[in-house]
Amino acid sequence: MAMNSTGIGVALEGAAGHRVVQKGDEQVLVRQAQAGNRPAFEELVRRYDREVLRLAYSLVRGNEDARDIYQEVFLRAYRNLARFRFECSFYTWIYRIATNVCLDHLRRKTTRREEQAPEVPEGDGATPDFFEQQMEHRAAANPERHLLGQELGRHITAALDELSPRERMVFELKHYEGLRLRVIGDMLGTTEETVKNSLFRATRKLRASLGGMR
Amino acid sequence: MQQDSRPTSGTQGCPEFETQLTLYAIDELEGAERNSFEEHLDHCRSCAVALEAERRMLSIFAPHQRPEPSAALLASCRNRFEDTLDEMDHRSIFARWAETIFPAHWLALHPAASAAALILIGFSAGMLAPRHFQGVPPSSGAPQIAALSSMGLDSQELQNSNVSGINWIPAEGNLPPRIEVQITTQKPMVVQGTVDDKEVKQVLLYVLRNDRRFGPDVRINAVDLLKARASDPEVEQALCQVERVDNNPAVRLKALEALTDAPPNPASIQTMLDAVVKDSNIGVRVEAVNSLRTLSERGALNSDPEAIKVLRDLSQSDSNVYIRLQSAAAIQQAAPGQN
Repeated sequence: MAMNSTGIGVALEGAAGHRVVQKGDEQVLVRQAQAGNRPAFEELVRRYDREVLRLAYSLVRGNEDARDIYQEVFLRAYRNLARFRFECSFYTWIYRIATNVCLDHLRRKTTRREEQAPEVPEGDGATPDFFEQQMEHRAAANPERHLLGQELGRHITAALDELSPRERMVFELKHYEGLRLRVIGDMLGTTEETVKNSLFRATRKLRASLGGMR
Repeated sequence: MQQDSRPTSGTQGCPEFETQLTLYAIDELEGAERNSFEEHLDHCRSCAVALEAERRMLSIFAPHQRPEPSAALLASCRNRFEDTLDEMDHRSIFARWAETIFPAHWLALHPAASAAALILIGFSAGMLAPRHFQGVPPSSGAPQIAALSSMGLDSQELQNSNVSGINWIPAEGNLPPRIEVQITTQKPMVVQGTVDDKEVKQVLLYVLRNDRRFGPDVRINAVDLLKARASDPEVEQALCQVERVDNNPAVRLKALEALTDAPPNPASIQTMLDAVVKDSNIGVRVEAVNSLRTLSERGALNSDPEAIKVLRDLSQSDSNVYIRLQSAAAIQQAAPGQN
């Protein structure tokens, strides 16, 4: 079967917008790696490890945790390489492993379960002043901009920490990775409807957390 | 056009359109649903305002706002993973060897015979091994330890050898650290000396000049050790080369650090300028502009119009705001009133 023959592979690479995969070359590399050629495997790792680390770092925001996730993702890939059957692109396969490892990690880290997540007050998404302020500051480019950026960063991190692992992952893949909801569903092994619901919950929580800032 | 008269709170849209609004804001509403919502938006001011608020909120999660891991973190992840693979390969070789000698299924099928065989092997090894090792010179099995000064390693020998590790023990006071270089030649060798020894310098420079032959950890250690001799023209030239050609950003960062600590000269300044302008890694570019800022604080850029010109260009047109600000600050210190 040719590489990238599934919708997932094509959509993933298209959505990321910065991936140019030399398909034939990659297929050869994967086959060599499956035959035990370590340099070929290392070449595959080098092609995708930046993005895996970026995903991990963005989710856990700590060097040590991101390093552990990197290690776990590529070790799983190494151990399971023989099972890769070219039904999707290697990138999609690696990314699937990465999302699973990240989810496991987030679940271990968090003490609350998804269904026990704090209730978000209904209906109050009505304080956009903070964002208007940010737009003004961006345009002004004054010396306080850096500090304001740091302040905003802290608020964003705190707001994202309020999400459950699955909501966090869905939000990350949608907004930072730019993936379609259908593709996210395929990657996480769930339906598009479930992904939509997770995204609604995430957006509502973020609206409540960030909308309250002034 | 009919205006929607339902009460709204702040930027909140119509509750029955919340789902569509959320999906529309992220471009996930399609077909008839999209058309229907767009038609509603034409008539409903509160939903239009809510949509704008939603988009503003989501704009702070745009890909370019995402926190980025550093180049050093990526390098350390790669090193750690390669070490783990080495370990796994080593273990699998041992496992195959052990499987050949002691097939597990044979042991399981013949428990009594297996137990007897293992006892016999253990007894024999215990009796015979001490006698065997008493007659053997102690150094034959261990890596040979030699002072580099007496080794006289030439470049031909270095070409046929591999540096598998560099260890050092920090010395007290201003003394240079004691260095231990593990060299894999026909016979494994551990060589010891200090960075002031000519031969130690020779090996470390060889590592830097042949970056593709050695792992990044070995190259980083070599740069770190040579930092103490960065004022030596030969070392400085090698560090500049590392900065320009080494494919590992962590090694390039280390070289920049060494060049920054060394007495400044035109070659090292030019290398830093090239790094800010051309390096593909943003972490290295940022570190390079920091180094230039440090040099300007020391007055090293005062009489360098070429450096000032490059910094001025960077301060005006670089895509990275931090680099623009640091370049402007460096000019301000080197040539007040010129930026």
